[in-house]
Amino acid sequence: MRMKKTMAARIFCLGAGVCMFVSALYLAGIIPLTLCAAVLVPAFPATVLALFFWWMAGQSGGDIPFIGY
Amino acid sequence: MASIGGIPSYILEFGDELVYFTPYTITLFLLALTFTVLVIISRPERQVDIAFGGDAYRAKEISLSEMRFRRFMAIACGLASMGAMVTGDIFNFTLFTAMVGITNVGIVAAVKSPHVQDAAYQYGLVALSATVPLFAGAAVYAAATGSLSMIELMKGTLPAVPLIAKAMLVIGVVGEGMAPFYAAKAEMFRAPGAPYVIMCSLSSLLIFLRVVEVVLLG
Amino acid sequence: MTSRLSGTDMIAELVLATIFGLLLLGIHRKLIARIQRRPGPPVWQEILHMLKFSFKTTWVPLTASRTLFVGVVLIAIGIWTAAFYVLVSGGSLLVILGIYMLHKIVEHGFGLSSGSPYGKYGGVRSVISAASEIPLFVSVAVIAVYTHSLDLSSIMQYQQVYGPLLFTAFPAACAMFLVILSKMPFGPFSIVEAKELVSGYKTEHFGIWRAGLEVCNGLKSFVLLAVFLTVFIGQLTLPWLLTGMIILVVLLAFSCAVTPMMSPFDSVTIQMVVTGLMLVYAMAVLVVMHP
Repeated sequence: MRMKKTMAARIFCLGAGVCMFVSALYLAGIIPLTLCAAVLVPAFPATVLALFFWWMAGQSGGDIPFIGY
Repeated sequence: MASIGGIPSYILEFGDELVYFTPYTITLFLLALTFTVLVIISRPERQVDIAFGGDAYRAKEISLSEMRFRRFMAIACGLASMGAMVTGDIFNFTLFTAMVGITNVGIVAAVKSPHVQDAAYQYGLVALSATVPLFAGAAVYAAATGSLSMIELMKGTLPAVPLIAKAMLVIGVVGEGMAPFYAAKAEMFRAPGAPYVIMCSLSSLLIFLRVVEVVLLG
Repeated sequence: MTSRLSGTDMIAELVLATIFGLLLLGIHRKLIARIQRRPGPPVWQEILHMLKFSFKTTWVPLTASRTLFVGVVLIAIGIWTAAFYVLVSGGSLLVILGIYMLHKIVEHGFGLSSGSPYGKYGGVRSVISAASEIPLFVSVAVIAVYTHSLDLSSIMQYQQVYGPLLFTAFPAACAMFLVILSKMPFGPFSIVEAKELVSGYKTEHFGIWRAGLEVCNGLKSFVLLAVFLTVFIGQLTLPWLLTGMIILVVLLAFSCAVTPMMSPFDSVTIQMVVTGLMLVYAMAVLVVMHP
């Protein structure tokens, strides 16, 4: 099962959007810090991994194997 | 010292039994919940063993019936830990702790490896002995204060809890697998089936973290 | 801490904390190398590591428990994110302590989920070195005896009135320093990632999974050092906080560079001895403060 590049990009954009939105709400004083943190704690790891997947998910096959000096 | 884990934000009453959430207990509860969900949805890994003195290796397979039993035990362990995290009653807390000890043995008891079975047996002996100070601690709590409710203890109106009761409660929990009684538990970690084995160590860590809050109450 | 950071964006400060934490690990590594008269990698090496791993091809090993293998990376970053916000909001020290202990479970998860024997032994050693957590509890108990609270904000207030706890509770500070030392790479107590186990519990997590682990390590270093400074020095402005962290890293690097990695048995023995000494100290404090 390979994750598609577009899928990873979508998850990243969604996660980053949620993180930004929640921290903006907190800065505006609409929601308390605990609620903001409760959203960020699950959203941040998913966003980070999705970002990594997005920029790493190559269209080609695996790495070039190490064949010795 | 009353609000060591934060102020209770929600109290759920079942008659005189109650469940309450402070920021501290809710964090621990959510962690127990997360790992229980992981136990439910993940399949065990296939542990690779290397034969010493050669380059042969083999992967251990876990049979379906063994996996089912261990998953059941791990879920029971997760539920007991969750109960111990949120309960507002000292006696219920000790019951959940004892149940964690039993399910921990159950998680690895089905593994067909003599090392693991030995470790489980030794751990079981320590955990069983530890329930004596555990329940005795709860009994001294009831005798000295007349109440087992943590909410009542938190109010500070009851007589002070004797140090011996707190010490017995802590010794009971430590016996369920904290240092220095964790050596058998480390041996139990040789068992394959990572999601289930992790519950052994998670549950004892969580109940230890909870007992720290409990003994600081009264 | 609360007033200082409330003006900035919540997510930006999380990312900056991660990067600064990785920079601290890089400084740690560079200093160890210079003390041992090696050139060593540049100080930003750990940041490059994270980026490098994030560009590598990634999959899940065939023998691994897939959900746990991936889930544990998310949990690792998640718990330290939570710890970071507890620190920022001046919340309970007990919660941070709980998260510190749960990092142990994350190490088990990393080690056991892959099915590799190296990872498994890393996990088993991680259980064995659980003794290192008890000094932490004792030092927290000592702090509670002095400040009558475990909220970071109240601890900071106490120190504004009575001066830093570093001087009043020096042994507790030493114990906590030892606890942080046991979590630093290349230290005397880093038996979970010893080279005879390849990389210990993180052996089988490669590519993106390792990059996620690096993010967790950066955040963990930042939070642990910031908690140490907050608990034992008090409220600091941002430049002083960062300077204090670098000074702590220099101390840690010296401790790591001049001590060999111990055998698992010696490591546990020393941690148990420290625990015993701390218990005696805590009893003495209790008797003096509440006769």
